[in-house]
Order: sequence, then structure tokens, then C-alpha cells
Amino acid sequence: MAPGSLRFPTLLLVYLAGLALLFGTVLRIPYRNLSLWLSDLTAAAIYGLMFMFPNMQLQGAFVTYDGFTVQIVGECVGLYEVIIFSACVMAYPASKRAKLIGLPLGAVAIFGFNLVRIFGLLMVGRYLPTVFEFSHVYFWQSTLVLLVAVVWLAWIRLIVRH
Amino acid sequence: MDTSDRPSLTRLAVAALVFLGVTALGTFWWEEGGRQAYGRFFSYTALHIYDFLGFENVAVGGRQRFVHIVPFVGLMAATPGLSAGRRFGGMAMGLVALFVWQLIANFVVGHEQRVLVTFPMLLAVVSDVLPFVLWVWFAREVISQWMAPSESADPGA
Repeated sequence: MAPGSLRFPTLLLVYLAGLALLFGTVLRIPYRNLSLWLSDLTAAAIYGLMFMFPNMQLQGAFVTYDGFTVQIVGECVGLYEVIIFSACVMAYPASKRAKLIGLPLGAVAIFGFNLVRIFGLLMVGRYLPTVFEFSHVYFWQSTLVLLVAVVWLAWIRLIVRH
Repeated sequence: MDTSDRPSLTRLAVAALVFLGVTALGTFWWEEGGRQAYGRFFSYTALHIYDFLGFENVAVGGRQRFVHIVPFVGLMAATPGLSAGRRFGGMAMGLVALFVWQLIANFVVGHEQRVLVTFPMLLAVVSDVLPFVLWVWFAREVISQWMAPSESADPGA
């Protein structure tokens, strides 16, 4: 990528628009079903990871820890982040091999971090309820862009450049 | 600041800490009255713009998703190697671009809901993605310098 090149940001926009249109139209029903399935799966994963904590309950996409309940909705499962990351990887000038390795690894990393994010919010909601709203907003928009940027940079450093 | 080399992991870690600090402050401001203040500013300005464009009866308000201004400012503030002109100029232009997007999104939600039926995730995705895309755009000179592709990269990919 030449310094100041418009190629990457332009391709990124094209891929993002393409993916958003694809998931918003042709794959709308599968996307909705995938979101619902991932919501339940994320809730079950949180429940499974917190097996050592007492007073845990799971009901569909609702997880309760010691009286504090969160609902995992479609926007909380990390799919948006994976879509953005996928567009970044596809737009970046790297080998097909690096992209094929990076896409699933990055998706796993993003889903994994998302579990940590929800676990943290459950803890905050249970023990520091007064800062839950702040944390919820903070760990939504801000960590979303940071997460995508970090995983993308890590892919470039660890896979593309090796 | 030298922009000829890729930043070290230490510099990236410092940048991440700056980002987390700026966005924590921004989120605190947003939660402690910033959302209402920005909503008043947005409502006042948007109504005049909609009127000027001939759109009437468009409901306006400060929506929670408009908090995306915070991570954008955080990214522009934290990126190592940006000149002051590029940093603050990009920040200003990016905030204008986000405001324009907010005008469009608000119009769609309040006036053209059939678009939401056809493209249910479009507004949410664009709102969430835009700070990142604008950062890549306005910081592209620096980003491209510290992310040179490998020699084996496929230039046509």
C-alpha cells in the first residue's frame, strides 16, 4: 500500500457496502437466524464459562448471575465486528493464503473477546450497578472499533508479514 | 514524530491506552449529559437543514447510536505519527461526515421507515462502522506507512 494510497480505504468501503447489502437483502433471513442462533450460543458459552460461579441461570438468550440478568441480542454477539474485520482483510493487499488463515482466526478472536466483554459487563452489573450504563456504552461502540483495529493489525503483523 | 517506520509495539500500546482514556472520558461525558446536549444541538441544526431541503415533519432527537463520535475522536487522537493538521483537520472533517450520516439516518428512521424494512441492518452497520472507516480514510498516510504488505503479497488481491 503506497503512502497515502486511496486503494485500501476505497476497497474497504466497497467490501463493507457489499457485505451490508448482502446480509441485508439476499441473506437477510439466514442472517437473522444466524443472529438468533449466535445469541443463544453466546449466552450458553457465557453460562458454560462461568460454571464455577454460584447462582448462574440460563434461559435462551438470557443469562442471570446472582440476580442480575442480561439479554444477549443480535448486536451483542460480535457479528458486526466480524463483518467489518472481514472487509478489512479482503480489502488489504495480502496473499490469498494469508486471507484464508486470517478470516477464521480473526473471527474466533473477536468472538472470544466478545465473551470476555459480556463476562465483564455481567460482573459490573452485579457488583457495580451504578456504572453499568457507562460500561455498556463504553464496551459497545468504543471497544468495537478498537477490537477490529487490534485484530486487523495483529493479522498484518503476525500472518501477512510472516 | 517519525512516520517513516512502523510504530513499535510499545507505541501501539501507548496509542491503545490513549484511545481507551479518551473514549472513557468521552463516554462519561455522553452519559452525564452529553447525549442530551448533543441531542439539542442536533435537533436545532437538523430541523433547519431539513427545512432548507424541503423536508417537513421529520422527527429529530439525540439517538444513542450517535455516541459513535466518541470512538472516532479517540482513534484520531490516539493514532501515532499524525501531523497536527491531519489529526485535527481529519477530526473536524470526520465529525462533519458523521453529522451528515446522522442526518440521513435520522431522516430514514423518522420519515422513510420502508428503507428499514428493506435493509434492516444497514443503518446499524453503517453507524457502527463509520468511525473506523473515517479513521482509515483520514489517517491513511500513517496507516499505510506502518502497514506495508509483505513481499509475497498478491498485488491484485
